[in-house]
Amino acid sequence: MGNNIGNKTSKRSNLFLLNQLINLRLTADLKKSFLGVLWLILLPLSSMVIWLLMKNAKVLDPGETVVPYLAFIIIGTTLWTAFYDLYRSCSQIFANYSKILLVNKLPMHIVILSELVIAFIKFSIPFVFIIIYYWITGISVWTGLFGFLALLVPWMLLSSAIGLTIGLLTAIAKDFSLLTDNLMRLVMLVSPVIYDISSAQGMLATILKYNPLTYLITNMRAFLFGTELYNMQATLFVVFLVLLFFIIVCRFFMVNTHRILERAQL
Amino acid sequence: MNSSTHKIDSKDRLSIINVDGLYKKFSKDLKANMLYGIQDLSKAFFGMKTNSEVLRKSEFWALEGLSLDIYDNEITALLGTNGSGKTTLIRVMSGIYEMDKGSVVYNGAIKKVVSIFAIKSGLHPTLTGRENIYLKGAFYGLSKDEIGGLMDFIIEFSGVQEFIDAPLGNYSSGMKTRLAMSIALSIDADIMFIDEGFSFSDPGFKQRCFDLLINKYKRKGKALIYTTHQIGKIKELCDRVILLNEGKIVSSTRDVNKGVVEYLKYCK
Repeated sequence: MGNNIGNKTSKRSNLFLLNQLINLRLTADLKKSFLGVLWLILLPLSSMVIWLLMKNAKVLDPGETVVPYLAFIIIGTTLWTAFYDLYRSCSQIFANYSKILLVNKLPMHIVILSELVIAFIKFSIPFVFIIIYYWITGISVWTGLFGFLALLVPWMLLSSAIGLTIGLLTAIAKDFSLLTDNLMRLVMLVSPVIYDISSAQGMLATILKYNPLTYLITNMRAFLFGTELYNMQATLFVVFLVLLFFIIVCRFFMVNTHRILERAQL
Repeated sequence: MNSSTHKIDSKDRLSIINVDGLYKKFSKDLKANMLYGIQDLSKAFFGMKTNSEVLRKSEFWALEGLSLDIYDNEITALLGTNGSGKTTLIRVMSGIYEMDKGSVVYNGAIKKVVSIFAIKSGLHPTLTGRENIYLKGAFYGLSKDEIGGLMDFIIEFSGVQEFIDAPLGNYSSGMKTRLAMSIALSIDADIMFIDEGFSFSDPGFKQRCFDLLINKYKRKGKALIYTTHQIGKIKELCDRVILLNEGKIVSSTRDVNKGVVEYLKYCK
């Protein structure tokens, strides 16, 4: 059994495909709106404004914290949004590109890369606003920015790897995305997104200990705010596992895409 | 397992695609298909062998032991009634479907293979015709410069000059088909597969497509394989007819008239 079927694609055609996929996802749908790409800025800006209004209304007041709670929570929720959005878009690759993938045999590494680039662009816009807000309120983040970005990579890779795995399974049976989409809400609650790890007790503390997201998000914030890093040995181990997981999933995804897609066509 | 082999005299022609002992199965039952999918995926993940060579409950052979050669400098029509296996065969040959057993080997210097199925997939309604040419061209693996070089031809051939910078959503269904077809046909492919690609109703455009295909693919090192139910144009376009029935090759002939007559017998 075997074949030698396949188109040879050049680096230039792959780069052009990447450019087209990013453009398509970021701007094509927004063409049907008066404000167009301005929405890419307006939406994250509006969520910042909502957090500021909540703070001024004293809704957000957890008491004494190492850094102002608003600064803590906006970076946490922005990171979580990026994580969840990337998970969703990767798990929906077959739904979004189904026939195109099947007929044109698009190079899967370019499709996956496009999802990562789109997620990074979507994260960067609110992140710039957050940096500006920190600067206005006197929080310096420059010294730990490199460490933050270094941990952002495994954060994104983990969400895409989970998304790709669920995407493969969902192409066969919808149960997987229905289950995981709902599970993700629970994952947010058992990850230190809106609270600090030090405030967790009992069973939650045990779950956090075994949750890889704990190490990534806690230390991303620690780098950003210049506070004490949390269990770096375990964090480096998590980074290693995430990289390994991502490589295995990508390889598996690329090899099995067509096998799965023909089943999804039924 | 049975097998069907049909050799044809082909002196001075290159076998551009060699299909040997090809088997492809599907499941009749959706739930079983899902279950087998999970099983096969799990086995593949752990590097275990899947049960691709035996039929499981509710599975059937859509292609059963097919062996054939597709030659260059020829246009080959795959004929057969619904469910005969022609779409499955063309999809396996083009690499869209995986085979369960056998081999498909391309010979010669094959650089570009284009498959025309679901021709309008990938077009985006909010993008203009011109933007869609770039998008669809990128899906076919072309670079920006390559698409730029084909742009004038595509616009002229599709006959949508007046609307090329209007959103595709404003196009009629026929205009979308003409644009999508023009993009695909503009590509200098070594092998082109077309599955029921000419079911649209514009006779003038259809004739232009046929003229272009004859000009492009009746050449050394090139081949066109297409499936159709429309027998009117087969005599004009094709050099060879392969007839399929129930996943097997019934006949393969360069006497196109004879091939069509035999096909019509199966249609009764």
